[in-house]
Amino acid sequence: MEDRLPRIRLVDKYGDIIAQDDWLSRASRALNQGHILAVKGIGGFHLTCDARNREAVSELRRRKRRPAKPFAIMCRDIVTVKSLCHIAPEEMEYLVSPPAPIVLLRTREGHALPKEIAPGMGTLGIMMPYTQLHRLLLENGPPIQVMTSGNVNGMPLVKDNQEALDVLGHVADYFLLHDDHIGFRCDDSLLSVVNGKGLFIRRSRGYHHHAIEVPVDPGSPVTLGVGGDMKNTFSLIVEGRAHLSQHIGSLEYVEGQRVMEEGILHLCDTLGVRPMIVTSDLHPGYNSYRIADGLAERFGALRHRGVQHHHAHMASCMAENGVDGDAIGIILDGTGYGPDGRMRGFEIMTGGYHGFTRGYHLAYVPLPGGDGAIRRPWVTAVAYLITFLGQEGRKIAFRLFPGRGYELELVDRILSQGINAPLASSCGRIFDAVSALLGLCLENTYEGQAAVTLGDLMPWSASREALDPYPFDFNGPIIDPTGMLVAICDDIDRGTGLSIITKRFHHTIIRMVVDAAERVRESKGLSNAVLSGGTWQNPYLYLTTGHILKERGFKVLTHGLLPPGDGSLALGQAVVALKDI
Amino acid sequence: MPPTIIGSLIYPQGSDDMENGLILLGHGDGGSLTHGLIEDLFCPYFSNEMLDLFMDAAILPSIEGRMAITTDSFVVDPLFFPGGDIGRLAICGTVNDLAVSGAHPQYLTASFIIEEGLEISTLERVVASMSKTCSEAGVQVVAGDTKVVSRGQADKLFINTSGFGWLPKGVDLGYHRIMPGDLVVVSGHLGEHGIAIIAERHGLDLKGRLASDSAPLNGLISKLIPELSGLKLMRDLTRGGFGTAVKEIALSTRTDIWLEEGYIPISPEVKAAAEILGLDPLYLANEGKFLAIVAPDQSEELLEILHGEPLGSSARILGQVRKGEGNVYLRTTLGGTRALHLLSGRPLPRIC
Repeated sequence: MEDRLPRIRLVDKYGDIIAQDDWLSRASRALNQGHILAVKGIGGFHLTCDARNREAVSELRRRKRRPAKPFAIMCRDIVTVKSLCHIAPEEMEYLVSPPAPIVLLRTREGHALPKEIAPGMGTLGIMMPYTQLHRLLLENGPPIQVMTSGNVNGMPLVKDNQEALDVLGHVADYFLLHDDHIGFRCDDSLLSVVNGKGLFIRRSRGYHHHAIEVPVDPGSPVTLGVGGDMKNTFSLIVEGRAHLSQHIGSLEYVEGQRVMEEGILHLCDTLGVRPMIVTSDLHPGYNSYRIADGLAERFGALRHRGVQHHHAHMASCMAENGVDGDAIGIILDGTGYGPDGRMRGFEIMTGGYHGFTRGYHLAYVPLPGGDGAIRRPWVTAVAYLITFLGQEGRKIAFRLFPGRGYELELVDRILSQGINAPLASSCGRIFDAVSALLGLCLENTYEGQAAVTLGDLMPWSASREALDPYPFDFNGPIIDPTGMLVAICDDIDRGTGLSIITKRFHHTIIRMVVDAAERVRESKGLSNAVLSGGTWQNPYLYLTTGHILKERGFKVLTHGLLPPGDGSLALGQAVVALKDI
Repeated sequence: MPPTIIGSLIYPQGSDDMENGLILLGHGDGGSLTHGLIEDLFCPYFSNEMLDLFMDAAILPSIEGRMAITTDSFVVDPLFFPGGDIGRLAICGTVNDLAVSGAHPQYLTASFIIEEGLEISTLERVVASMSKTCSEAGVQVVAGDTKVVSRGQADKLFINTSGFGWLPKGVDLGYHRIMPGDLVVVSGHLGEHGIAIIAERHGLDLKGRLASDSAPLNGLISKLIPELSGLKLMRDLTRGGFGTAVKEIALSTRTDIWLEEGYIPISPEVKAAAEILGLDPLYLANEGKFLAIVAPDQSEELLEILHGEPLGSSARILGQVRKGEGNVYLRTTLGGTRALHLLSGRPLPRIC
């Protein structure tokens, strides 16, 4: 925690000083008047405005080109938090803990904030002031302020004064600057509290310095896992302990890639080590894959060939739980490269650090235009309809997505001709498809929007009632969703309520994975079930599946120290590579 | 399909395929059918004094100075598409390879590998298109060859052309002249040929007029070379597109090339089609576009000349060469910098 207040000044977007001694009153007034400020913090800049001011929030969305992704907010005190959200004692503990993460909380009916803060969501991401500067701003300015990352979408946090003026000059009206140097960028951590325990979505500020014990021989070589291309973190295993980086984020741009490389070199210097093994994902199109090649050369290290995405997820969850041996992996996420060149994300598998065998997976669906279909969930929905329901599905598609006739014809043609339509077996994609079928989200403006919006309709507790899943079939190792798709379309036609369809869909996914896990247990005699992958950030799915698996006698292993999403890949990669050598 | 007049002349006697005007294996055996095909189909379209001698080789008049030679094979499917056909490509491709090397294209050879059963009328349409494109480019086909292969051993029609041209004195284009500070210019909208081919091949009914840009560039380029000593290199942007060409330049010169995404000329129609198909227009083929590297003090002059010509009317400066080590960076309109690489296989999804 930082309690010393550096010398602060308020400047305009040209860097001209507006106020020095009276920066606080001038900044507070600007916020109260609806202006947007860029505020230098301890891990980078925040963009802030009065969260109660709809116009200010909308203007920030417009300028930041971020139409819907929820903004985090900072509240003056707990009373203010309670006026917005329901808060359980465990949530309170996280909220006021020294790391001061952003905690996702369920909102109260009719709370006072404009819906533009988190459009379509029943949650708010809230954190408490964690620097003296925050406390002063929240006490003197608006009591609830948007506190979102000061960056351009997909780019690293802005951390230096001139960089802030250059990059955020078109976003912020004023800048609160000081001359304390920010050595390394560090995003705010983000978590939800489910079943009384923190479930990380982003593990970063306040947490990343804690190395964790992993079950490897302390004498084993220093090993680097570079992680994946989205929500990147990297991991360095030294003497049986894993050092995990802060959230680096997207590696789409060179800027993010540089931050990652610098971070790796800095961590190596700090620990006084040099990796002897470097590994990555198997995806040949990942920037991290290329970076791993370069780093291996630079360190003179062995370039391990890479670790399959879902194997890394599974290994990471096992490692943080300190277990070895074989287990059943129930790995659900959006996109992971399979060694056969197909995309995976719905894997019930067996194995351990040494390797894995695929057990059951969801049937493949072609994704017209690849990443394009992932950005447009309605295209994925059409692909599901036409692939599994044929001519009938085509008719339903034209009925459900009127006004997209031209694009729909094209998508249909792309599917029938097999033009650039890579195959995907993915939990994220079936969430996308159902979200689009229900009209919740047809196009993503941020990654995971369709799935998050659908999951947000469910309560944050395990189902205590019997599941009422839609029908589906096991076809050898393939889980065939045709029955579910037919039934969902029928329900939509009949006007069945959104909440009922959503619940039954969730129950179907749960039943699919539980049934598959039981089949694997019967044939392999394993009973440790590992839950990893970004889909497990869906609290209802996570809690209910965990509950049922335990009832059925499985020992359930989940992430507690790391996020279940791609932020956990690096650790799994490093452990697998180390055991592979 | 009724036999064309030419088809009926070519066949000495009746058969089903002959009746239907189709190419037979016998059209490639060097006998009377072959002669008929050459005399009745190829000669009328390609006639010139060197070809008409029917020697084993064409004897060319002496040329002073340096010569340029290139060869290229054309296997495009489908044979016909909006804005062109395999014949037009076979001429433009070779002419443009010579032109961007600084040469004046003059003579071409044309070699045909024909699948048994191709309609003679189809072949004739292709040959007519080649002839027309030759006139456009001011070049002559002076030697040729025809082979026929059994059904399934080739896909309808493959064409190889080789081309010869002469270099004006003093023309010096090449990687060795590129220096940090030079500007990157592209002669027009990118990706049109690639999208047109995919649309035609798969029967996609795309919005907007999406036609191949295939065109001979030697006329346009001949206006640049004498005027611009600061013109350092040109590349035509066929297979692999702009992205591949620019990366190859960076690698060959060990410089970095910085591009501004916002300046890259791509039509809204191509952009929309590429988005839905999941293709990157930077890597789509062009058949009538080139990239030029020019000294900064002559960039405006270059643009002025290009803008005065139909084939260069949408030319843009879109990047700069800087000191570096072979990287190509694209500053996106959103503010991030993307590194461009050589295309490696089909793009696979990366978004979670």
